Amino acid sequence: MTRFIILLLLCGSSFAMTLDEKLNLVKKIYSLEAKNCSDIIEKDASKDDVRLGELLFKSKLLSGNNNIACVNCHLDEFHAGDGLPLAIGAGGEGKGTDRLYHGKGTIVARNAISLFGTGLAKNKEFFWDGKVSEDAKGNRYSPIGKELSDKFDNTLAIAAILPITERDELVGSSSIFSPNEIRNAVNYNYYDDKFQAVSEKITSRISELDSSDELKQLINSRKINNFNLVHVGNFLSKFIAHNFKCSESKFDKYLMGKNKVLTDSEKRGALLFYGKGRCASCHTGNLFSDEKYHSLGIYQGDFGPHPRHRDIGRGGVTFRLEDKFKFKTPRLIEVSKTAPYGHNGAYKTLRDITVQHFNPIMSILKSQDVNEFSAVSPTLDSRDEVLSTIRIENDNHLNDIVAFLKTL
Amino acid sequence: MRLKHIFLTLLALLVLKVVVLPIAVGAYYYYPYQKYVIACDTAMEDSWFYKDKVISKSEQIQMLDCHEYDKARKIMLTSGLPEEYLSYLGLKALELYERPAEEFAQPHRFRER
Repeated sequence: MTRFIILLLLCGSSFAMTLDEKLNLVKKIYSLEAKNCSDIIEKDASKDDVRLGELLFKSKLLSGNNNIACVNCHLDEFHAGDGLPLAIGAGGEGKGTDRLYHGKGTIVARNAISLFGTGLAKNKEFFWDGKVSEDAKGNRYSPIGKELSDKFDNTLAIAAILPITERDELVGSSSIFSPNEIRNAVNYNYYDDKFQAVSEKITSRISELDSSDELKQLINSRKINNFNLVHVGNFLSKFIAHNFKCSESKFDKYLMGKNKVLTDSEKRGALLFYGKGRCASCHTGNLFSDEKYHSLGIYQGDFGPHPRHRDIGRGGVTFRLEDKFKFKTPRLIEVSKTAPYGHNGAYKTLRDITVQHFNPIMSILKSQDVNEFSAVSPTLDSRDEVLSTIRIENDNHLNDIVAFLKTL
Repeated sequence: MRLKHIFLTLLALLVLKVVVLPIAVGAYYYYPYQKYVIACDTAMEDSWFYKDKVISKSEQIQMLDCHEYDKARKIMLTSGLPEEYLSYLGLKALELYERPAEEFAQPHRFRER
């Protein structure tokens, strides 16, 4: 009879732990807390500093043929990305798919990363392969070398100027009839000299601006002599940090105790994300990235920055075998707005890229140019070990995970 | 009259405890228990193979499946369901993810004669 009474008492409450109870455990185990979107670099930048950065961000003067600016690939309507699988750099016109169908732009062999949250103080690794980074001791690594890198105010500033020195991004082509001085500077100089040569051209262009130009006035008001690429990077970083601040997400609100903001599906998704989905093994912290490099075994597409249209990712920076085909764990801030996904933008939806984590075969099967000579083994072999432990076993699981991702 | 009333109430409670409750709890947990069996089994397998290698925190969350399994098991036993019935459901759980017989039968059928 005692057992019967116990059971009757139990009937008054739910037998299983509630989703909120389980997520409370998740919060404790992972020490989760809402992200702080105001913790950005260059906090003390003045309005004029940010405005100067904005003018540079939108200025075509930084491009070889005066036909492209940073803003062309980081548009508000695409959440500071370009909405394309692979960015279209110099020579492109229009926005989004118009830029693709215009047909004259240079294809940049990687997906343009959204700038939202890029200016957070925590961010120390930039680009898919981390070619610009800063370690815990403050040592900076970048293609322009340590000496030049240390002249910048912050690491984002270094990352911001690299597209200005890239042929396929802002530099563009040159011809006998329309010579491109920046292109020539890039072509005939190497390493540090290349940076200096481009910098001199930019300084020269800015000095030639009309005194009534707002950009020129703001530069003059700062009494900066020889406004060069270092200055450009520093002001761009101020604008990026202030303009592309992240915002409080539904999941942030949940972490702050507002349990009702998430639906049951989103909560189940969160449990999978931190549990047997293993997502939080790499998408850690409140920015959802361990800032490390992993391989999902993403199928090599038609374009890549390395020979034979491959993309060897981090391996192209460190030249270590173990880094081949690895890419930086992307942050998942507002991830539902930054499609397409993956370093080559091969995944149109969150569902597609999620499936790639536990079933890389699907993307290979969907690829139109797959044939028996497609060397898929190297990329598949490079897949991160944790991916084989993922337990997303049915549509309900997948739908729940995607629902959760949309709350970030 | 009052004694009869008490007797009938006790009899009803006894029937409720010995017959109705086990059947109701058994029916309620028929599928959930089988799913808990598989989920916990998977969690323990993953924990054994991967815990110290590639997963740590997520393993703890996954192990909640075993907590749910244990709770369901206790509730079912408390309701009066016999251990043997739970063992039977444990075996039935193995059939949960079996493929339909039709898939196996299809290739063996004559298409033409």
